[in-house]
Amino acid sequence: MKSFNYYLDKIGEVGFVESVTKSTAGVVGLPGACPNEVVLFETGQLGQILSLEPEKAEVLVFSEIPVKSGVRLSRTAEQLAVPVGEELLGQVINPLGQLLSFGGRLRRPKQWRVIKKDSPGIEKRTQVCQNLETGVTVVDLLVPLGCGQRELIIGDRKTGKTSLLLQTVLTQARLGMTCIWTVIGKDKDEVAQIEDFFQKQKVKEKVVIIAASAQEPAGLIYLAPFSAITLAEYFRDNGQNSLVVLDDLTVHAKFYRELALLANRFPGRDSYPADIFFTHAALMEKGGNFKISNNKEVSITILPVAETTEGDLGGYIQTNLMSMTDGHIYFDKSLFSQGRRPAVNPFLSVTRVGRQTQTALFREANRELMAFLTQYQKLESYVHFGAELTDEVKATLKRGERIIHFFDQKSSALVPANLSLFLLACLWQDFWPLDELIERYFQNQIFRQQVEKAITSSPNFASLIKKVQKESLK
Amino acid sequence: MTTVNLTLAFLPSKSLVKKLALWFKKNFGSKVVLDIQVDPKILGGAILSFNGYYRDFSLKKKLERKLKNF
Repeated sequence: MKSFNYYLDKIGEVGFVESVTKSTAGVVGLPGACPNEVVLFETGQLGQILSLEPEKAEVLVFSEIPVKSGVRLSRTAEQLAVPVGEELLGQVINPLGQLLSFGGRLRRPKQWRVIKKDSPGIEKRTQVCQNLETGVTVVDLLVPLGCGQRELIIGDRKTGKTSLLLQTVLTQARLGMTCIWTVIGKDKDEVAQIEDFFQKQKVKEKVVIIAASAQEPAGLIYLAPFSAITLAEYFRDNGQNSLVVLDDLTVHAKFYRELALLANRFPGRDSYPADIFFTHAALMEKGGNFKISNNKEVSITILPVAETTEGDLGGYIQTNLMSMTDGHIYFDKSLFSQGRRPAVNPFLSVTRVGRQTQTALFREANRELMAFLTQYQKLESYVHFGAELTDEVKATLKRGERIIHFFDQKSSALVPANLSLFLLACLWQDFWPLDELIERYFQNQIFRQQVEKAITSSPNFASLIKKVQKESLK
Repeated sequence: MTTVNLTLAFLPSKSLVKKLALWFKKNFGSKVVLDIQVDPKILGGAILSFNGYYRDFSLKKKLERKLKNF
């Protein structure tokens, strides 16, 4: 970025700030300004044209220090660009690419990339076909995800959404995936906690944290997911798969509403601006599985978060997001209060492209398990009548209880998908030393190899069960 | 009402201001306000900004451009 006088001289247009709000400025002048153009204030702040009227323009200000009325500003004839590069891995940056973390060394990328809203067309995309392991049993078995999927994580506040995301990012980072964690309008504490978590788990070098906490100017918060996606696109063009977490988009929508209302845009439903759907859809469209040169496939997986109030899935932003994504994982507050962790409700969760990425074995296990859980749920409601139970019903209830227990997972524990499936097969056999098996898997390499082998060599669930019988009952 | 910002290197005499005012009145009608600032740092010439356009005709700028080529 050059100096104010440079642009003033080069472009020959000047504007004056006429009105100021917390995060926008109304300016006059700048006859040649175009939408989304970057403007520079005399006092050094950076801004972006938000909306244009015949005599006036509304400018988004990206600085904590508000601009003053009467200050001059200049066009730059440039679109907003953010620094991108491998150097950012392991760092905490703000959406404009400025460094926020103080620990570690400072590495500045050399490349810049313009934030674009259009995304590649159908000819550049391929089917989602690779599984994305989350390390969370209930998700891996019941709501599987694929690389390139856009899966909404939805639920009330404090129901464990962030924990699931942390587990997923940790699993993927360990598998070598490049991860981008975007904090949108949250507390500063949370940013520190997330950074600390990745540091402790020793995967910080695989994660870029883009943070726009609630104290930042609304313009920066609005920009955060776009900045994250631009970075993911850089990795895509470099042939690296990436996983983008956007936490969360309901807050993003609220900040965008604030901006749009301040810029005098006409309010739509719930006072959100008319283009809120477009704004979020433009983000979601960037995800997918892409063809790049040499017949290689690269994916951008996006996991946006939406917060609900009192479990209401019908909110405006929530339903918008549901219609843009390839399914959602629903965190149920009532399950949470029953003590289920993670509180994922498998019946209300959807995955549209995840199952096609599973092996036949996993798919079959998924079907069996889902059918069983439906039956179990029905039976459970019968039991309330106090009817006398047959042995068969008792066995089903017992197995159901065990499955619920089996899905319980500490937020610090990661269970590989293969282990999950193996344990499920054990459970189907009513062979049930759960903790012992998990411990054995992590400590005994031979046992681990046996498990992997049993899974890769079983064509279907029945044969896996047989193998389990032979292997583990020894 | 539009404002013409004019930066000069010297304090203009009354007759010069009158002359300028007349010129603007003739070319843009009576709805123009002349806002004259004095900044000796521009050495000579004038900087004009009007209707969002900004033109720097100062001697300082001219010298800067010349010196850049050396």
